[in-house]
Amino acid sequence: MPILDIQNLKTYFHTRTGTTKAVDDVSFSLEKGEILGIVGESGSGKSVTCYSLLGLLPQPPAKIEGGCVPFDGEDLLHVDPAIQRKIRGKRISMIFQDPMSCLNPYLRILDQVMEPMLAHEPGATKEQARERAIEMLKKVGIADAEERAHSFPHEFSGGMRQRVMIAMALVTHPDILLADEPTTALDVTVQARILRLLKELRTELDVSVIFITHDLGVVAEVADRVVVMYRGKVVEEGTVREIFDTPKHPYVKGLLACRPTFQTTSRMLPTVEDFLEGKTTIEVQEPKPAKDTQEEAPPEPLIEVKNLKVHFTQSKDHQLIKAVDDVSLKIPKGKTLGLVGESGCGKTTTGRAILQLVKATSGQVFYDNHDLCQLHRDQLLPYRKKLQIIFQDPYASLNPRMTIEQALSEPIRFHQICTGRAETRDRVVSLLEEVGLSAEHLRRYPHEFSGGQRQRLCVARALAVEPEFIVCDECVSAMDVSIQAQVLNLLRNLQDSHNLTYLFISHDLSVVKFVSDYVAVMKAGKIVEQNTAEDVYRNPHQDYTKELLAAVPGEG
Amino acid sequence: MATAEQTSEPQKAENMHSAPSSLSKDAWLRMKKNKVAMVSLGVFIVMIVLCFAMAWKCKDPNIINLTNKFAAPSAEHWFGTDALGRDLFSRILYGGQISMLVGLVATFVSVCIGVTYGSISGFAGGRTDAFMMRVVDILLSIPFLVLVIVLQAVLKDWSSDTSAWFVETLKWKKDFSDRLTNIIPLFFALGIFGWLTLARIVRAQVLSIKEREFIEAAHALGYSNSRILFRHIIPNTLGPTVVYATLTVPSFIMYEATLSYLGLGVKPPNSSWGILIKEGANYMETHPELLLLPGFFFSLTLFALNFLGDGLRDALDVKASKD
Amino acid sequence: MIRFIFNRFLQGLLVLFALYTITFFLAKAMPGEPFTSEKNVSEFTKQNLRKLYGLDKSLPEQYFRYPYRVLTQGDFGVSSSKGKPVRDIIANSFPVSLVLGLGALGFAVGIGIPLGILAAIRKNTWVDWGLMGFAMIGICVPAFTIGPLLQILVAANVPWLKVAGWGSPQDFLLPAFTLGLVSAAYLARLTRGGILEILSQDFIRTAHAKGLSPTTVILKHSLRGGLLPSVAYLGPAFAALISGSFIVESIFLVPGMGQHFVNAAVSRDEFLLLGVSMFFGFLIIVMNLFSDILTGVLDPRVRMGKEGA
Repeated sequence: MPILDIQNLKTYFHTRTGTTKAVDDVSFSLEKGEILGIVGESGSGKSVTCYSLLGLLPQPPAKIEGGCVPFDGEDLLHVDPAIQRKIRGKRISMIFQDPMSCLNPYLRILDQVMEPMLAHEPGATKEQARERAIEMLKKVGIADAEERAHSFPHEFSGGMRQRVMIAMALVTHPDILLADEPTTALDVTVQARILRLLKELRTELDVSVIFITHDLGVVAEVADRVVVMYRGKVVEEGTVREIFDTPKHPYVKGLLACRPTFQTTSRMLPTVEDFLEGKTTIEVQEPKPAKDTQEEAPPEPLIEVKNLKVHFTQSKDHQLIKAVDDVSLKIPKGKTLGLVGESGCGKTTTGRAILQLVKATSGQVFYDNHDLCQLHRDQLLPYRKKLQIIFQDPYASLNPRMTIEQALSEPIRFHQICTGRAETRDRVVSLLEEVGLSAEHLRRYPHEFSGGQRQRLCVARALAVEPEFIVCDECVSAMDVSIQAQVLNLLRNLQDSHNLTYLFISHDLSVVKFVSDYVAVMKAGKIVEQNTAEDVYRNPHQDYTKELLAAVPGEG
Repeated sequence: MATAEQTSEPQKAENMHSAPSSLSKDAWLRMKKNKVAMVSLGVFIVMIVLCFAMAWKCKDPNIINLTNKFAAPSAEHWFGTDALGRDLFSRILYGGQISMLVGLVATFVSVCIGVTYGSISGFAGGRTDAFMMRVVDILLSIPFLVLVIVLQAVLKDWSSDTSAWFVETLKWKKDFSDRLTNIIPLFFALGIFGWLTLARIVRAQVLSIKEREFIEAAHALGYSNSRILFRHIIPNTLGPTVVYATLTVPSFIMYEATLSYLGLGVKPPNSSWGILIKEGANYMETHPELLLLPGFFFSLTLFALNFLGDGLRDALDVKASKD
Repeated sequence: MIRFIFNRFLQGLLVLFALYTITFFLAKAMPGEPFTSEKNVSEFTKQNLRKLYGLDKSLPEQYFRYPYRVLTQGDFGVSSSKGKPVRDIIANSFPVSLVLGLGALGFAVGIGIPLGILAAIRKNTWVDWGLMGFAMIGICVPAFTIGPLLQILVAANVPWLKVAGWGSPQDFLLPAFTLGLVSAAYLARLTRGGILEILSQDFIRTAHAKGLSPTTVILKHSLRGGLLPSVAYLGPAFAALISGSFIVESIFLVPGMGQHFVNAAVSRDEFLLLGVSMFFGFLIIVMNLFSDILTGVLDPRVRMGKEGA
């Protein structure tokens, strides 16, 4: 018996540049007591669907063009605003992606958790609201709830804030909970706990949940049924098992195929485009000659890091932060070392310290028989060509005021790799082509490109100086899975054709396994385990490694 | 707030058919749609043309004609005459020259000092930055007008001495030299204390840009510090700087008027809008137009500049990445 | 919180010190000599006064003498243009300026902030445009134009309000209002901007998702953050009020400190200049401290010393 039935929902955005059909005739239903996962990439319309249900969209430029959503006798889309407000927070609640920005920083936690009850249950006294709020906070796992409830949001960690949001959403015992990417911003171990919590609460409080995510692994972990959305439409619907084992729509097949899992053995990933264009399934596999190289000794290290320490003193309270605490690594030439860990473990700082973008407190970084840490800025100049980095955020990685041609020519001219405009331009064009773009993009500015394209431009810029070693710092973490596959393939190809060595930093264990020959696991500034990729994933030695691997959604 | 979701990759590729557009061009297009701002721009341009170009064609504002005091508007005197029979219209235009010159030049000086100071402070970081900002904080806490008045008092006699020097050594015309040295102390006083907030704004910009990945990439590519500061950081701070500069001009014009009203600003034979308003206030009850007309021109210019600044701020406020 | 206040207080002392140094040297740089413009003072008295106030001593000595005398004896020197002790002059005029300043602040806050909130709530409607238009008038039309105009209006229509002077209690109304108008205009704009900024934040969406009434969302959730820019402006606003008081005092014939300040600058009256400047500076520092404390009250991240507040 469906508790919510969405019929032919159409939500369009009317802007000066045109009309976007964010949700284009979408229908599905939510059964009582189930967790329904809505999966889609950016632009799929998954979030807009839920915002439409609760009337949270700014009505210009958004407009609900059609459809009806019967809920308990009312049509949610055409109900009186006053009644809609009574449903929000009382019968249907919502939690969002970024708990820090979603909680009011100026009000205490207890105050915010009490609010829905006080607003929707006219008979409730402040005492009753207080009791229920604290009870709810305890239920979601906040220890010492009575005391901690008087804190402000910024005093809590990310995971705890999300628990607070869940408590706040469930305090009125609503029928339905809409969850918009609630774990995307969290570490993988924290995410695992929150997913477990949601499943428990669903049973305990008899809530039906709509769980929006882009991560297929998460959906496999938490949902009963799945709806897959693409470009504003529903392309497939079914139980988790049905979707994962027997997908029907080419987009879904492509989506499942293009994400690296622990079981992936091919060197290249199929992309969603392959499936949408009708190429027959998964033929792009070339099994890695993985088993053989395990016996070979690793090649000479291109970069050797010895006892690297990077310590910061916090300016406020003069506490010493040991971001990188005695790290030693060997990065073999022509291979990829994956550096994996949760947020704050120091992996990003390590990458930057190797490149001398951050000053090491002590330790050595050997490249070409020189200790880079001992060199001055001027002495480092020739090495800058050899060691490059690609960052996580493609939106911030390019100077917004420079054209692509300027941005790519600058390093070439600065390092005198080419002389003269014509030669430089030819080189820039060939770089663009190598990363899958073209000469027509020369005169454009970064903001005219999509995220995936911008990341390719960053790769092109790094390649411009003919490096031997590239640090990939979470460079696919901010991307949709389908784009991620393209960029990973690109990195692979370039490694083969230019004999590049990579240090691949990421928190995503599946991606790291796919990309790396060797893996180092980091925690709190130290290397916890280090081995070939196969060994680390098949036979983890350390408890922390085992915990990390177990927490990956969909692999458990 | 929920907005249209990020456009998906294929959509973005499709959109790239039109001509390339830089951020500045986008901002200008946005501003063109803001009617108030465009009208304000028009008014400001008209004002400049009036005061600087047309003024030459008008009568001499200093000719005193005591037989024709307080005349009503006529073909000869478009706005009539003032208490000393001087043509009001040309007085207003000439007054506008001084007021706007003070506003624009003092703003220019402030911008130069402020941008330099702020970007060096922000880029240097650490102790240097902390010290430089402490200085700014302290100077900002001091009442601006108080200091400007004191500075003006100090520089009062300087102007006549310097004027004499200009006439003797550089052989400038005395009249021109007098007028110039008369207003220089004002430029000085405003410029010396007017750059503080701009420095803060520029520094805040530099600090946040400094941390962005494209600057780290520039470091990784081995670029020198000066290249990074001048080619990469400063061009990206121009937005707020332009907005603030546009809003500084009217506030400086206001300061000039205030000082003139107190007798500490521009002196005769120069006349600024501030002086005209002050003189007009004396005859407020009998001949309010002597107060209202200069007041109107003054306020209109300030309105235009303020709305223009607001328009610029709205146009430039959209985040750099359009997704 | 205590630490926060203490830090700000120390900063204030530093500012006072800097103000003193700058004013001292500027005052010394003024051409002309104190005690020379007053014809009533005999040469003998002048010599004695010079000796008494150490004007014959070296600059560094004078620099330290002044604060010493102020702190130990409350002696601010003698005004060369008025022939009276500076302390008396200040004591007579300061209360007037204070009343005027606080009254203006009251008008500014009482008019500016509610209007700003109203404009934000009714964004992009006639109410908004009208209010912001009025605010613009307050910013672009100087006090010395509004003042006289108000005087004409009031003289004609409101018999029980004197147009100038400072005798009866209601006399502070007109000058305080004129003075406060500019600050009211800025506060209205800042409040509107601050609230709109908050309303675009994610936690407001959360508040709506909880089904809270629009009034609650505005008053409870957005005011605290939205008022922050206005509160931060209060300190400098008070400074602007004090500075602007010179003009208003002369238009409305209010016997406050402002006139003394201008006269001191014009007649090279060193001690009066120093005394009045330092007093202004002190007032402003106190108001800045107050504004900082208020910011700490509103924003828990600031008072707990969290970075990125």
